Amino acid sequence: MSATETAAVQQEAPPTPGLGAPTSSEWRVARAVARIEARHLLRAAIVPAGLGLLMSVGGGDDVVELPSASFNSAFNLLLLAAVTLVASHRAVTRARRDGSEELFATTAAPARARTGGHLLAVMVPTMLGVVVTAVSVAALVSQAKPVGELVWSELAVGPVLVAGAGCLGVLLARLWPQPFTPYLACFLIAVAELGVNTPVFAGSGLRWLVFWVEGTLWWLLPRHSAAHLVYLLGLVAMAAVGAVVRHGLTRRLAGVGALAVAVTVVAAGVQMRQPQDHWRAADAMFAAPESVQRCWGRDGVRYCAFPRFRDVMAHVEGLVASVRAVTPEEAWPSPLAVTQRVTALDLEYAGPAADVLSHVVDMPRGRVRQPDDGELHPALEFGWSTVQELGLGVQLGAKTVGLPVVPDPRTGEVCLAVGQARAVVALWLGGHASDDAGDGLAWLVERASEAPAARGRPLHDAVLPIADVDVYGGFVVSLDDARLALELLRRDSSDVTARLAEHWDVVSRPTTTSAELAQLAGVPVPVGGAPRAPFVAHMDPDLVRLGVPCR
Amino acid sequence: MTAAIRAVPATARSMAWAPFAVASGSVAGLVVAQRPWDGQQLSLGLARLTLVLVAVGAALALDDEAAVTVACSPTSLLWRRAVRLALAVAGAAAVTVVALFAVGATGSTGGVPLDRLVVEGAGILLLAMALSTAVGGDRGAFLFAVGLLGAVVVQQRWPAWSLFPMAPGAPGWSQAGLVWGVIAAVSAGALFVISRDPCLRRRSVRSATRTNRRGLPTTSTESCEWG
Repeated sequence: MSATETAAVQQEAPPTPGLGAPTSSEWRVARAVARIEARHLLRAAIVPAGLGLLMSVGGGDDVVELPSASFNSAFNLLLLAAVTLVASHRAVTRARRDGSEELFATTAAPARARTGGHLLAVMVPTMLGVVVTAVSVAALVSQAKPVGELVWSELAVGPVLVAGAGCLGVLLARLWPQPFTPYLACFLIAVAELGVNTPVFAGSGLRWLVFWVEGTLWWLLPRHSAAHLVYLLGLVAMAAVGAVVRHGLTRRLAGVGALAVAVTVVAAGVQMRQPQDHWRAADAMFAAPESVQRCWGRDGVRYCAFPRFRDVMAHVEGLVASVRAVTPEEAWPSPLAVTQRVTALDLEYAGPAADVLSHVVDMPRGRVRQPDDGELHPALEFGWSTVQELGLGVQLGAKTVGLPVVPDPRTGEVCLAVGQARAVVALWLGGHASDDAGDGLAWLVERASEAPAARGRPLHDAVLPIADVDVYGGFVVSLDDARLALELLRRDSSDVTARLAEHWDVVSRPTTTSAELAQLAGVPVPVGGAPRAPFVAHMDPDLVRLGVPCR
Repeated sequence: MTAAIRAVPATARSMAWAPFAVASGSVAGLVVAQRPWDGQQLSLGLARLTLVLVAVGAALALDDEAAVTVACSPTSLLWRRAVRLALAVAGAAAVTVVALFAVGATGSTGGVPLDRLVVEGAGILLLAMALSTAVGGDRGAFLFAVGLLGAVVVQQRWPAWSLFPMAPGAPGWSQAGLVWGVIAAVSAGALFVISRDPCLRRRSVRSATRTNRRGLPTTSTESCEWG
């Protein structure tokens, strides 16, 4: 505060500051405090905001679903919100730490004005939150292949959370100035967030009362986004009013506080209402998908998709075309149908909540299994699983070389294709589905190689299903086979394509071994031999069960 | 040595134990809320969160507002800090042991690897204490919490770079255990170096002789007269 401002404030300072309506001098003090404290908050917020920016522009997914991304955008600001909460608390309690609290009583800066200043200072990290969100939106729309539409009220959640955290920090500092308080508050909020983002609360309206909720199941569990935003704004107002009320209750504050409480309660009630219409539509997606799907043909392939997920299929078309480009024309499966279904991947976070979601007919009580109808069934949500693109390509490859496309729908068993050349070819074809598909296979091999379950058993006996949350392809290969496929993927694609096309009849035969394929392709032959007692090292036993050798 | 032992009760009384008590209560509350005796699996994420909270509590307990005032007492800085650190570590270890014993007794650790969690907990605790000793308990706790939370957030986008793998057995799990061991060792070393009495440090002539703006020599605030 400049000397002139201080003099003016001292002249106009009320004898009993903090009572009645705020005077112009209090506003001036609040503004001056806000200017100074905003700089402190800005300094504390730079690193978390930078991390938020990194999170926004990093990644590089092929497909980004904008509704889901809108829900998740607030995640990038959670650290900024936590830092703002702690920094606000530390700013308000700085005088207490320095032992200068009593000195403030002798100045023309009443506590209410200082609290107001701290609350105003929260606008700076909030604006940083807006910038991070704006950059995030720009990155989403420009970097990846966007699908669906942005939900603006969800995008606003992040900056509002930052504002709310700052106001909560000020309120807590006025209520409990102990240094541990903000950390405990962050801990309790984190516990609530972790607790509610579990399947247990998947079908509960209570889920929406926490500040940020993962948006993975947006199509099945939609939130009343506008009501949630109003609810958060109400909470922010309550925290701000609560902080100021500590210095004395005025009629105006009481009115604003009562209004904030009423708005918050109503908005909470609205967002907790269960979306019955939405669930009826979801019922149809489970029970009779063909009745609500739209179908079209392209390059001899028939595609069918749910209307809201039509854009995802454009990406799937690209994956199919990429695999087709390296497949000999005579081997290409015809006719081919690619039909969207609700898969295990779509329900990853809802699986154990099936009992809660019992209103959805045909909701699986266990894992969703894909029908064995000869068609390919991509999921609704696409692009976030490490092996999803590889998986679709491998299913296409399996269909091309005559291996099962899905595990046995009745038993869930996959057949053993260890040491079979055609299984390696299927993996190689799948690895061409997208630029990242090969990395997905490498990730699976690395994961299987490091699996703790392999301890005590020879890693040579470990077999690899193409699976993450869902199982792609109805077969497993040995780790040597998977490494051979990776080696082929590293080689010049046109050269390998030409060699495979030349010997297609041989390599697609069930009796041809992967060692023979290696010789034909001119790569080092795996020396390990076939596993003696095959086991899956790194997967949930319920996910993949081993069956008989593939015929 | 005798002076250091005599300093234990006084140091214990002067330490801020309230955060530590609240953190310990949270650990107990969390274990009870998860009902491990009913066969519920403990959450690895929540277990880590409580470790961080205990570490923040320990960092705040190290805050020594009287350090400057008693800087020239006969007990050396190393001993004074050693007593404070020992008390904080003993408190954190007691909380951890009781929690682990309680979890182990219920026999439902689920996927939580307790040995790895102990290594991670030691790294987290020592890191918080080193930061707290270096820059002050309150500021150290803030830097520690922000740094660790930042690492957790970044993990969501770049799991391969992470110190906190998503689940036991996930890629990077083994390396992360090693990294936490290194963090614990480096933090312990840093604590020793920071806590050494300035009088015992080697100081170059250049750093020992400071001058003010007028070029006159100034006296160091770290007096060695009690050596």
